[in-house]
Amino acid sequence: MKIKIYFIVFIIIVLSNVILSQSSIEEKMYVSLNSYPCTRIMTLNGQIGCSSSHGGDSGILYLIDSDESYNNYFSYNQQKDIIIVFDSNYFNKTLLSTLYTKKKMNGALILTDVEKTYPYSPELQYPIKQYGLYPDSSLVWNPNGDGFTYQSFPFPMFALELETSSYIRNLSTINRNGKYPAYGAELDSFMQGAINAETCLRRGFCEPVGGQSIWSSFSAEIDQSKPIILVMLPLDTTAFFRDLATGTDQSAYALVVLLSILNSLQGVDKTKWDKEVIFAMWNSERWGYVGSTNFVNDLLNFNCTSLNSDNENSCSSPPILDLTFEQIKFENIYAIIEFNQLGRPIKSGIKTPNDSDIYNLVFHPNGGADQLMNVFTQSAQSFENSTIQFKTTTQKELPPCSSMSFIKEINKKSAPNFIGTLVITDHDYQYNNQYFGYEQDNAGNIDTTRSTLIDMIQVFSTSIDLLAGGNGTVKVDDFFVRDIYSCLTSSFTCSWVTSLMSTYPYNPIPNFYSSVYGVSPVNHISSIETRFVYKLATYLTQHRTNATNCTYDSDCDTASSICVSKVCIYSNTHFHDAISLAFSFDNSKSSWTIVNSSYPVFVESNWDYTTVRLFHVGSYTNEIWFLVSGLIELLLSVGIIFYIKKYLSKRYKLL
Amino acid sequence: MLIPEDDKLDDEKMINIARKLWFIGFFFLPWVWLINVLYFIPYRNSLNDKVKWYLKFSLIGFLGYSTIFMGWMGIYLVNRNKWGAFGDDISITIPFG
Repeated sequence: MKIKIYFIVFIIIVLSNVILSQSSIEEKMYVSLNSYPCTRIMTLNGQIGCSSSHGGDSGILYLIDSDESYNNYFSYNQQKDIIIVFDSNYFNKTLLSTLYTKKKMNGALILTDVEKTYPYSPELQYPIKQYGLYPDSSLVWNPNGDGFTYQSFPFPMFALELETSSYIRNLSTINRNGKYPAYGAELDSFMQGAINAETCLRRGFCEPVGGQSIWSSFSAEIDQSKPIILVMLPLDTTAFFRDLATGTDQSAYALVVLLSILNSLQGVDKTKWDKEVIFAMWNSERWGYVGSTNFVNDLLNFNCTSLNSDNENSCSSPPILDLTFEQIKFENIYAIIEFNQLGRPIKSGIKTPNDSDIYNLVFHPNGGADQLMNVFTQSAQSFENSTIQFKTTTQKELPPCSSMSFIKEINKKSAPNFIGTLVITDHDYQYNNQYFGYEQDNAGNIDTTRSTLIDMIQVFSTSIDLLAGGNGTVKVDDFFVRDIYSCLTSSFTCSWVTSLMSTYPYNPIPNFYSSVYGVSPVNHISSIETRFVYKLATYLTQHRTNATNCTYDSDCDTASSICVSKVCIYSNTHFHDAISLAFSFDNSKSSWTIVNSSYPVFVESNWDYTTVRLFHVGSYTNEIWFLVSGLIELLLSVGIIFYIKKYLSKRYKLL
Repeated sequence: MLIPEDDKLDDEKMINIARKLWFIGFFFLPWVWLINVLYFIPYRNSLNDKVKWYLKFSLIGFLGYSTIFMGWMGIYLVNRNKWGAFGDDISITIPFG
């Protein structure tokens, strides 16, 4: 009996050792890296982006950082399974497509320690043409675009962060000597979705791309007798690796300008304003002008059939959480001013009296807009040392912009008070932004000075004040501009974020990818960036405060109020759904369905987790030795067990 | 019923077992028919005709059912995605990817 107990205790000790050592073996075998995955998005007819196989793909690291290493890849035969490490200069559509059509690759890691030396855009040459105002246009706004983002890849790809990049560059350089142990990596980014959007939504493995747009006004309530000036921009950005979508010139710079305008106009006397000014930031615009189209559609066609019994400002059918937008009458729209890409204006060659360069910003007018252009031009000229001036575009068509969603309907309905649309950009025809829709459209992709940014804000806010009926005396707060500029373009860890947000950003890189709308119309997912912009807009347009000792936003009594350092702040700032009109939520199946495929259909696949892990790769002979010695060990232990069993049963008659 | 300690199976017991398994197999359980055949292998020299009849048709049934099931499985796996909503509706679990 005692022997039996000893035996059981022995077994338990051995087993627990095995389990414990297993996790430590895993720690010794693998090193996890911080990485940004290429994920999968489904379209109406197929899919774009990447997915690994279930369980991940692995291989030896092979660095491509020169033409020589690129050409040698085709004859490389040290191992069959290869993960290619790309220097960012060798990562583009042409090179990658040739590579994987000619020879098998198991995955790709993209280094970010060296920037591309040539202009590159993985977007289309005319971004989202089919959903804009000119679906048959022959213009090429984005000449560097090759449509890389809209391709589908049968292997995983990850971008590595800065420090990890140089580490991996070193390891894969060591691999070149052909000796063992070499370095390998396992890339796991298995995507649940497959086939196309319709299938994926039906199976519940995808959610529509979308988000929350934000609109804001200084008025506590929109006066419906006043004409409306809409000041807006597309909020979201894109990149091949969507976690790195800062899109500084694409949107973030204009966002800094708009938020600074709010800050400047905050202190202005608005009693003389005879117009309502509504500031709007549309989300998910890069996926077919989703936010603006949805808002326009709601202004014109929304009809609540049953109000929410708990909250009169929300509708339960069709579900919409905030009905304040009903105060805005479409026919009251008087003017539209849109800030698009502003960060890379061209120098005019003229200098100011104090010897600074003067930059050209470009007017893209539509439907008149002479009055708007005059006000902006005069504001710019009224400053002695203004470093900006305006030119009118040579093009007849508007560049891709959110205003198109409004113009489409205005053309159909003819708003009686409408005086025109003015889109302001840094380019006349082709984009000055050489990295449109690419990770490198970051803080380094800006080509103006701080004083030019201040001048822009000064001129824009003065013009808006004048247009609204004010006298045009506006003061720009340099400190605010500086803080918010670095916050939204370089590092999303500024004091504004810490004071307004209760959560801290997981990723310090500002990222305005719109992400997914949510699992149902009442269950939204908003990125921290979107929520931050909402809170900041609320803070800047506040019309009333109430010291209530609050902790959370929900402690304040209305939905459009926020809690900042124990004070409830009230503002006329609201979220608005940005989801394509193609989708409708089927309550009986509790899933999204496609109801109108003439609107954009983009749905993002779900996934559990994504990882990149490093490990050692041994030579074939080594590995065979491991296998053979393992087998010998197995046979030996089986033999020993048999012998012991026989011995014990003879000796003790126990087993 | 199937405990082999009863070494001396008489004919009646054998027929009983063979018939029971034969009937059970009809409930879409072709493996039971296979078991029916395998179970009687040790007694292959002492089977009477009635038992043999059950075993023969158990084997045929097993092969027939298996062919149908496997054929259907092949058709289902190949066409699952092509059938769209119908394909998903007849699936108990839908694999990712």
